[in-house]
Amino acid sequence: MKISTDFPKLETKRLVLVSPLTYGFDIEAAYLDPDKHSFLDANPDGDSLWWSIAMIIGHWRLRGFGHFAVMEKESGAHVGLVGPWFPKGWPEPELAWHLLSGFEGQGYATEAAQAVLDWLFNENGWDGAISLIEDNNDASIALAKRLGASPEGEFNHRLGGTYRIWRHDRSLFPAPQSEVRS
Amino acid sequence: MISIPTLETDRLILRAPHADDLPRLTAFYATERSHMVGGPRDELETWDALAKRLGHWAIHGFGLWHLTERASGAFAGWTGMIFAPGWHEPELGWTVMEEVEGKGLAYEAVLSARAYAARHQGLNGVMSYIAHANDRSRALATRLGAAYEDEGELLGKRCQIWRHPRVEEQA
Repeated sequence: MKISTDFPKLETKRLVLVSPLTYGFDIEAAYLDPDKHSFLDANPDGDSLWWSIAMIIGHWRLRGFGHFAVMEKESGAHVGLVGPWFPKGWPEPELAWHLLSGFEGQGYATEAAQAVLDWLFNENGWDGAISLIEDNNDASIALAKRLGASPEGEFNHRLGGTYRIWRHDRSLFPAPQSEVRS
Repeated sequence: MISIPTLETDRLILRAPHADDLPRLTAFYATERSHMVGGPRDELETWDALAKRLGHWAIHGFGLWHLTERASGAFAGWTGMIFAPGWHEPELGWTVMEEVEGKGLAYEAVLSARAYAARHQGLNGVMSYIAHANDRSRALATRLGAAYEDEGELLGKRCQIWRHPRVEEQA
C-alpha cells in the first residue's frame, strides 16, 4: 500500500480531520485532558491513556497513516479519532473510530469515516480496509453498513477477544447515498 | 510534528528510533536482560513500544535516542529522557546491547544525552532510576558523577534514585 508522506488535512461539510503530527497541533490539549478519557474505551485509566496517545502518534510516524483527530469546523471542538490503524499483529489496516461522549448520534463518525475512506481509496490507491467490530456492538455495525462494508470472518485478537471483520471494498465506494444518514 | 535531533559522539550516533531497528529491538526484548527495562516483550509489543517512543518525543519534545556505532552501523542500544505517568520526574535512562558492552559506549552516549537535555530540553540535574540488582548501571552512574539519593519506586517496582550533577551552561 502506498501513502503520501505529507500529513494530510481532510475536510467534510461539518468536520476537519488532521493528523496529530500536523505542525501546530496541540497533542496535550487535545488528548491528555482528564475529562476526555472516555473516548479510548480499551484504556480506562489515565496512565495507559498517555501511552495510547503516544502510540497513536508514533503509528503515524511508522506507517505514514493513522488516527485522524476529528474536529468540528464551526466550534473547533474535538469530536474523536477516526482513521486506519495497523500495528503489528493486525491482519490488515483497520478503519477505526472513537467518538468523544456527547458527539454521538449526529452522523459525525459516518462523515469522518467516509472522508478517510475517500482519502485511502482515491488519493492513496488502497483497494480495501477492514473494520474490527464485536458482534454485539450494534452502533458500530450500523455504521459499518452505512459505509457499505460487508461482514466476513473473525479475527481473534490475542488480548482483546474476538472481532468480526467488516470489509470496506474500494469497488463499492462511495456507499449508496440512500444508505447514508448523517 | 516530531523533530528528533541527531547527536554524534566519538564512536556513536544518537538518532531517532526507526522501524529498521525492530529486529534487533525484538531480539533484545526476548531476553532475560530486558527485564529491568520493561521486558520481556514479544514482537507485537515491541512494535507498539517503538511507536510509543516516537510519540513520547512528540508529546514532550524529548525522549529516547537509539544508538548506532559509527564504525559498524550496528544498533548499540538507547539513551535519553523518559517521562510518563508513574514517573516522579523526567528520568535519564540507558540500555546497551550485550555485544557492544564493556567499551565505554554507554558512558559516551549518556554524557551526550545528559548535556543535550540540560542545554536544549530544560532538564538539568536529572535523576535515574536504577534497579537494586543492576550493579552495572550503578557503576556507570557513579562514573557519570551521579550519586545515590534515595530509595524509590517505579511502576510498582522498588528501585534506587540516583541524582546527576548539573551540567554547566555552555560559554
